[in-house]
Amino acid sequence: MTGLEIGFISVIGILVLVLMGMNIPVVLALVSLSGIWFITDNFDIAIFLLSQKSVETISSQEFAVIPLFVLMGLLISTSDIARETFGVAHFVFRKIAGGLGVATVAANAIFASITGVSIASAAVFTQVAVPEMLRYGYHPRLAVGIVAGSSVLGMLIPPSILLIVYAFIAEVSVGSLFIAAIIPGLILAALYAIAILAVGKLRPEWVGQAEMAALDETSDMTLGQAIKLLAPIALLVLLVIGGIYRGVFTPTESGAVGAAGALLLTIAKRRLTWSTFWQVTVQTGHVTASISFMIIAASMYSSMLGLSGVPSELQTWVSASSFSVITLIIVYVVIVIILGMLLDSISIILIVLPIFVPLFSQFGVDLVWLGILSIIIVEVGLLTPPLGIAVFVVKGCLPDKQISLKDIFLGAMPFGLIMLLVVLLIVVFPGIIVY
Amino acid sequence: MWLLNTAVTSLNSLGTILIMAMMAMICADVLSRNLLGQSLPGVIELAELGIVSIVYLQIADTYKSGKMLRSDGIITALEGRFPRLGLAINAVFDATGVVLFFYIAKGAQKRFIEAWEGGFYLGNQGSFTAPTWPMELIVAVGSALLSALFLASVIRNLARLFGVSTTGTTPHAGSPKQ
Repeated sequence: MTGLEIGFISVIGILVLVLMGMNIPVVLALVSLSGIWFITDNFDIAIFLLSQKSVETISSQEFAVIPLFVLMGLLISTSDIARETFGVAHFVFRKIAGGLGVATVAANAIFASITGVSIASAAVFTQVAVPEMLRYGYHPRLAVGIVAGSSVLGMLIPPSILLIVYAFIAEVSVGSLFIAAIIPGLILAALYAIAILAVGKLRPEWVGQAEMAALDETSDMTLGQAIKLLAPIALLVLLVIGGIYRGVFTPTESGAVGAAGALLLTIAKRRLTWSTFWQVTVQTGHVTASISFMIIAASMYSSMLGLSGVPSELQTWVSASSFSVITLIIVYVVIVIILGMLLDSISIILIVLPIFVPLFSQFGVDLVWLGILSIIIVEVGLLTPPLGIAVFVVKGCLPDKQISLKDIFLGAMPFGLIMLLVVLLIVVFPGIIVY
Repeated sequence: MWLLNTAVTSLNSLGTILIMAMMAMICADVLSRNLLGQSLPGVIELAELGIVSIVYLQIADTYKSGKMLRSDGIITALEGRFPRLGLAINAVFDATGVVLFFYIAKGAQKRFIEAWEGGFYLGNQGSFTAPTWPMELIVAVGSALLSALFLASVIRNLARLFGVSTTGTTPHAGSPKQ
């Protein structure tokens, strides 16, 4: 059997078992174990690799900050920070048709710069922003679409758990990925805002134009209050981003500093009891352990692929056929989008990248650039049916049960298309990321 | 069963405390470096040992609370329509978990004994050293516990499959959650 055949069978095996409902890290480890056993014809070697990878993969200082980034995000989510940021953004954009939608995107972008998970953003803003938009007469599909779409910013704007996972698989530095993600994240947010404003111009009734006058009068926030509400959040963002830029601490250490900052902030706001702090930390442990096992299993899978010779055979095959880098990118994007309909973001990264990273390196593609591209297309999968996780989270947190899953998928679709537009921009103008 | 649950919860608490300690340690290092002009010794080594310990202290509880990633769409539909088939598949899946984590535990146990007897450490003699055996012990115990939890789930599924009534029908341990 050739390496390619083994690789192909393993990928099919993984997909089938994952979709059947087996625990994803168990699937990856099991298939890798069997693969290595089959290739080397030696069970002991396979077991040795399993046992070695189970510790070696995660034993690094860079990895050690994953729980701290998670803790920071979860702490922030227990405080009222999302609601307050949204309130301030609402105040800023109150005079514009579609301003509430733009405010949601802006608040999401700010919130994203202190949390690393999209799911958190989707949950929080469904509760905070959707009822407000509906109250002002927004079309329900637009309201839920804005929240689902802009939740994606959580994983793109650093800190981001997904970027850390990518960094481990592709062996690039977390810091350079974080810095590279800032501009594409802001571009995506800006394009979302432009699209919402365009809707406000073309279909004023969808953004509750009629209520604009009433809105102005009910706005009870003063500029002073807005600044006072925003100050602690701005301080935290400044502490983390500024600290990285000034070299006070490394991007990995910023997880610890951010978590400590978030802790102080929630204590100062009197939002934290011992029991919530304990619960949040326990949850942090769960997220960390589950991500870690995914990465351990993925690194086994990578070594299995390496042993089977798939990457080198693919490389020979790609260079023999007159594949251009653009064809490769298109193939990659299509595969990831299809997988995005079925799997969650981290699984896709872990399954696909060990195969594609060597191919892209062969073309001399910058792996930081590839990382940003990958995160965006993987995140399109959060919005696509049948399994769009962000959409499910929005549905789960929605107080108004009238709005169906279909409404949310349809509402989120334009935002998915805008993400693809950003992908196109990145491909055509790689300078956005690599400068 | 009571013993197993207590063990899982205790390890989980220990892991939770370790996360807080890790945050404090890295912050202390950043402060010390910027205010006193020198890094604390051993932070890198302790972070490496710490993260592995955290993961294995929490892995059993993660599985128990259904937070281990699985995509549950098809299996849930299957359980609804063909409950016995669903039980059988879950039993097979959990059995693979038993084997996998048994071998991880076995490997770690071997390394634990080597580290204990050989006095293995991380760091440099003279500045800072941390023994590796506590981490290896945690990996061994954590994976062994997870293996046991998977086994308990296999037994529960098989018992229900063959119609033996189990006392206190606890929900399936790896109950679905994306």
